[in-house]
Amino acid sequence: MREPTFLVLTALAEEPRHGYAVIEDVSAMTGGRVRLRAGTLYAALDRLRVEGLIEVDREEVVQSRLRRYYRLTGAGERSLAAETDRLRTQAAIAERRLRARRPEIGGAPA
Amino acid sequence: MTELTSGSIGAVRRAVAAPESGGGVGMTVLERRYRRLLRVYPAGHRAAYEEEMLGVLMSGAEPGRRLPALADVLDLVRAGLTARLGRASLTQRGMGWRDAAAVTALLAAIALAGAAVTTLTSGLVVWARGDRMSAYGVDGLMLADPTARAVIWLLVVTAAVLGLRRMTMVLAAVGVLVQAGVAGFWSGLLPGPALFAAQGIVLAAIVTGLSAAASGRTARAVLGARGLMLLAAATVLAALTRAFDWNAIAPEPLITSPYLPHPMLTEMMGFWLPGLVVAAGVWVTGRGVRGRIVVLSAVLYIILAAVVEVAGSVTVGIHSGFDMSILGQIVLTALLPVMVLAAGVTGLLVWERWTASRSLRRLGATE
Repeated sequence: MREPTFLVLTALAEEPRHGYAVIEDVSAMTGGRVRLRAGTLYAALDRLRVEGLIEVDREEVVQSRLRRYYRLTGAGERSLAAETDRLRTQAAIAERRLRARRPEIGGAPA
Repeated sequence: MTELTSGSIGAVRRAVAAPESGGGVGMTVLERRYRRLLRVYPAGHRAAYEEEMLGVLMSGAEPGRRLPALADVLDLVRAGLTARLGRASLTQRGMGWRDAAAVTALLAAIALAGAAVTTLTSGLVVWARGDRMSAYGVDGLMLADPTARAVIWLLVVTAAVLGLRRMTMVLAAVGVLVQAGVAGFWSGLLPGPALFAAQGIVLAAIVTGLSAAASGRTARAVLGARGLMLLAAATVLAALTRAFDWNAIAPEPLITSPYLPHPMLTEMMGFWLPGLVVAAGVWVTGRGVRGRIVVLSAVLYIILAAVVEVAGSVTVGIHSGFDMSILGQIVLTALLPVMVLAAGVTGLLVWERWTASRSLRRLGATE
């Protein structure tokens, strides 16, 4: 799973969100590191919808603009959980190895 | 791809679209520019997402901005073109080539096996008649060449028919070595057969490359039972017509019967009849694959012809010096397969575009 996809699913895991809210949430989650652009966001949303990982929650018109809210489906929840597990395992391995390096390096010069 | 169905969406779109149709009162310059930019997406995608995306784009734009942000433009163009080419159809297109590669590799392996078996059989027939194999090799050793080739290519064909992808590739790679050995063997004796051996090496290398490229379905899966049966039937037909031919021209025919087909007929049919059956086998692989098999096979055929041409030009050059015309001829001949490939790929793309738009129009007409 690519990072934008993972982040979009994570944004929708909290509550149903519309497109711009997803962008804002992803930006907040990553401390401003990832600012999804419309093309990337809708490529991910369209694919996730076709794959059945998200679905349309509701539609609203705010200031004559269409806002479509998306929510995570059961399949989306499982997919996000599986990806989270995978990332956690990898992070744990990396962490263990980094910790193992520390005594041998002992505050090595940069 | 994007058939978002929602009861309210039509009403929403009308409500949203109303200010736009008014002619710019409610629509800023920026919005109009974004809307124009969104035309990079296919109609289906626009129908599903345009209003929504416009909302996102406008929400993200700082007040007073008149030109779309460059990063947004690049992102939209990239995503729009991807959607237009179709992510699904893109991978499907890739699959089509991979499927075609698997089948073309099998066809080429059959041709290599057929050539080897033909030589081997005629060698054995001469052997059986008490000839010392002078025409086919150094006292029986000569049969080692067609035997080795027949064995390895029959193994490749078997592996492909059984659907053993890795095995097919590995055996084909061994086939390259066998062909190279054969070429080395002949080049010491006669330059003529060595030229054909060069063709063999090239063809064997292509079979290996195609098998490696065929990472999707196996030739067995692509052809299905029907396709495999047709290829088997074509092989049997080719063998039969070949046998009749030999029998007819042999000094002492093995079979003499008034019911045998006329030699003229078998000679004519020897190519076209099996060829037609092979074509039928290729046809059943289905749309999106058969055209690619034809393109790959055509390129393969041109490559083999080019190898002989280039070898001929090089021979002439060695004897009478390389001048511009000979060098030009070599370069042109070497480029020919590339040109045929480019023309084939372009032709296929245009054709598929056209048939796709035609079926879309037909869909639209029935709606």
